[in-house]
Amino acid sequence: MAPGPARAALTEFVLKVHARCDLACDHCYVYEHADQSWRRRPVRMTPDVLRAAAGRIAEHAAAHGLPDVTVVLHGGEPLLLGPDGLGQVLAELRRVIGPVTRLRIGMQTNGVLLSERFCDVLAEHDVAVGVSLDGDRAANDRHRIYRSGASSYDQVLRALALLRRPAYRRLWSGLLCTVDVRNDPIAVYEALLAQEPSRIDFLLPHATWDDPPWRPAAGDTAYARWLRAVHDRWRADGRPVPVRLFDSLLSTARGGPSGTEWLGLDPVDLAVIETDGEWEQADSLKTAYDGAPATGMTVFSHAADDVAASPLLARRRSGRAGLSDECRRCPVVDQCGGGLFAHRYGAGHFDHPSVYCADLKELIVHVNENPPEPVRLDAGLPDDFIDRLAAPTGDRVAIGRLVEAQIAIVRALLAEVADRLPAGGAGADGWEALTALDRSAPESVARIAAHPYVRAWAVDCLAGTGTGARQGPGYLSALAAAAALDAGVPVRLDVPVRSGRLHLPTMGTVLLPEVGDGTARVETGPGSLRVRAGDVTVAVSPGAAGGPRWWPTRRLVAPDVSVLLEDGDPHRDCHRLPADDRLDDAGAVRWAETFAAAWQVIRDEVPGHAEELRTGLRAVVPLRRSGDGVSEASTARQAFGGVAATETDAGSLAVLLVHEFQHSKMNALLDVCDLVDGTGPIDITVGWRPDPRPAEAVLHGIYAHAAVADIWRVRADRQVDGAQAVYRQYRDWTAEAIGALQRADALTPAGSRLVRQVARSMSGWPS
Amino acid sequence: MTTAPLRQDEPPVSLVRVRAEPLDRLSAADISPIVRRVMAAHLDQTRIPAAKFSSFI
Ligand code: SF4
Repeated sequence: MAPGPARAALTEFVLKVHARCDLACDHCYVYEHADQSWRRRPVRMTPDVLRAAAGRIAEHAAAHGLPDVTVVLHGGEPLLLGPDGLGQVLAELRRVIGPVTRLRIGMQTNGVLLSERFCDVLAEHDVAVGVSLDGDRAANDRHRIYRSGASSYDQVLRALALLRRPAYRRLWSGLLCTVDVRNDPIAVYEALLAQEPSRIDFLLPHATWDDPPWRPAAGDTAYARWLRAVHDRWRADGRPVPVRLFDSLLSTARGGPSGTEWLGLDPVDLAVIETDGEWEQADSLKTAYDGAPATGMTVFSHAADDVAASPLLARRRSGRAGLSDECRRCPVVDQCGGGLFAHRYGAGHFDHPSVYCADLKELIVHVNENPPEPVRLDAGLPDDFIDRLAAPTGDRVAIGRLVEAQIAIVRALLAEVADRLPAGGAGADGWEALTALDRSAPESVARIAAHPYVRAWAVDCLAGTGTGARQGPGYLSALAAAAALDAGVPVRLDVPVRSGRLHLPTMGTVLLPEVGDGTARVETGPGSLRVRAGDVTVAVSPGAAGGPRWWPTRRLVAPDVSVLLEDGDPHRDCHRLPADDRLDDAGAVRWAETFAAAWQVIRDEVPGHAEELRTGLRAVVPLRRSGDGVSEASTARQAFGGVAATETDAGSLAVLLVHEFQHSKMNALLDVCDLVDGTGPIDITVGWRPDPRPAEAVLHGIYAHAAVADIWRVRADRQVDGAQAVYRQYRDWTAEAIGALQRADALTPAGSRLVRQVARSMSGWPS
Repeated sequence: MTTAPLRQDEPPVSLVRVRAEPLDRLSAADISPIVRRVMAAHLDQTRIPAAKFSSFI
């Protein structure tokens, strides 16, 4: 039986670490709205409250076996704690919760106090920082002002410039903009975009039926009109940045999660902890009535489970059943979900649609009627390309075309990263060197561009989502140095060092623990690499064995194939499953032996696939084995030619290489060709998973499982023990999924052609 | 970051050209549509952040 609401876990905790603010925004729900509980609370969270709160979160994560929890520092204004105070809070959270679960920490700030000192503290504790900005100066100054009436605009812009610096860029999670329909929507959108945020969200000003939002005229859906204007421009721009409000509607239109408490029927799984340790429900309830968010519980007296079971929270997790009659009958209820809970309040209860109901309805219909248009690319592929990629015998030439298309894509991404470099800043010399090498040694540049985790880095970099050991735009210098080393050409470049490691993609890692985060001077020459940082000089001849300061990237080699054993690239950790650390020599030898044996199996059982792998497989990433020891494997959308796997035996490795490379091929094909109709259904039932799957995932499954069935068909033919049953299982799953996908009418003509080809090749298989 | 509206009737962009031209000769017109397509697909996968609260994590 599914756990009832009372036992459902909370995964997100909002921590009010400082109860006052240095701004006096008149749309702020904390101070300006009905609930006035801030007046009686301590100004800042005391250490004993913090310890108890962290303890409750850790206890909850452990009891529910949560793989991760999110803690959002909020206020008031969290920066009023000062850098030291903030550092202490963060250290305590990491100390108490870190050992129990993966802890993600965020902070929402007005930004005015942000300084380098603060950024260093936030970087040290890996905190994602959201900043509030309402648009251009005029828009922002309408509400976001000091008590004196002075503008906060310049201070916020200064904070954003700081967060755009390469060292801090990864910290910045996005801009939060409260809508005021008196502002010009396009001017606001452009002003936000000009700050280059990695994400934007638009919030409606808090209001209730008792205290409705300002409108130019009664019944005028000005909020829908405003958001529609922004949406249309964003869509016409090619959706250059995620906008959570619109993305949420696009996701729920296809039955996906809403990802926000503002919309949709996702169960609410967050609670608030006030400075005095009181548990509260959603913060936005402060807008409803005095005392609305209160639970009467504190972190000293009650566990998170008690809060989760409280009636209002349980109601907010009950989906459609917790809504008003009008909402339950509404045609867009799955996407709207009645809007934000607080906005439903009126006449003493929450049994109403949102006070923004008419706006939400109009916006949702508009977004649904105007789905995003994909950009078309011409990869110069022949007409029969789809058929060749569907051929069960494999097609080396077709894979070669995909490889070339991937290199072109990576070149475009690199040029875009370079385009965004500040003049003369980190990476500018690297780009210059790379463009020169592209003329003098194009094959070396192509080899680096074809490395799966170069694309993974570039995409991270452009999305502004790189965290931890991942690199910023300065990594262009590392790419150039690696290409120069490959070509044996002399260059001299400052290359970034992250966490004491200087990584040259496909080549290896120089260990510079004394540098920590910084740069080192790299000099390449014919067959030589020299790295200097302060007093330390590391001289390496590529191809030489590793040493205390040099970890060369090792290779997995069989008679006619050679791929990287990738355990050093910081961007390899994009596979959802955790990548293993650098293997010791014995581990690397085991991998090499298993790979060589697996390769023999592939050549023997499915020689067509061996040809394809030889052309397209670039790197194998060892994954860390999870506690239960189940072997796992994965491909990443942004890493064509990379397969990640836990250590296993040769026969299994052979199957998983073929299986995962099918996903890699499909990803590369999806890059250049629209196979799924974006308006199609998303909930197709398949045999290999209990939950309904979107059309693209089903297509992936068909493509991969047909190849796996093919291997087991060969094994069954050779009377391998148990092979017949496995063959039948995969064949049946694939055939059923093909039928379901065809019935769902979710494919483009190219997608249908691919599926038909797979079906045709399976039709000759034994029953 | 460009904010010029994208025209939907533009011809498809050639990957073959981007592969063949030297990197420093590639123009925004060559690369922007490719970047848009790749980033849109990437962001589609990662767009829905785990955090539900009105903050970004
Ligand atoms: S559009 Fe209105 S009636 Fe429909 S779910 Fe939203 S708030 Fe309720």
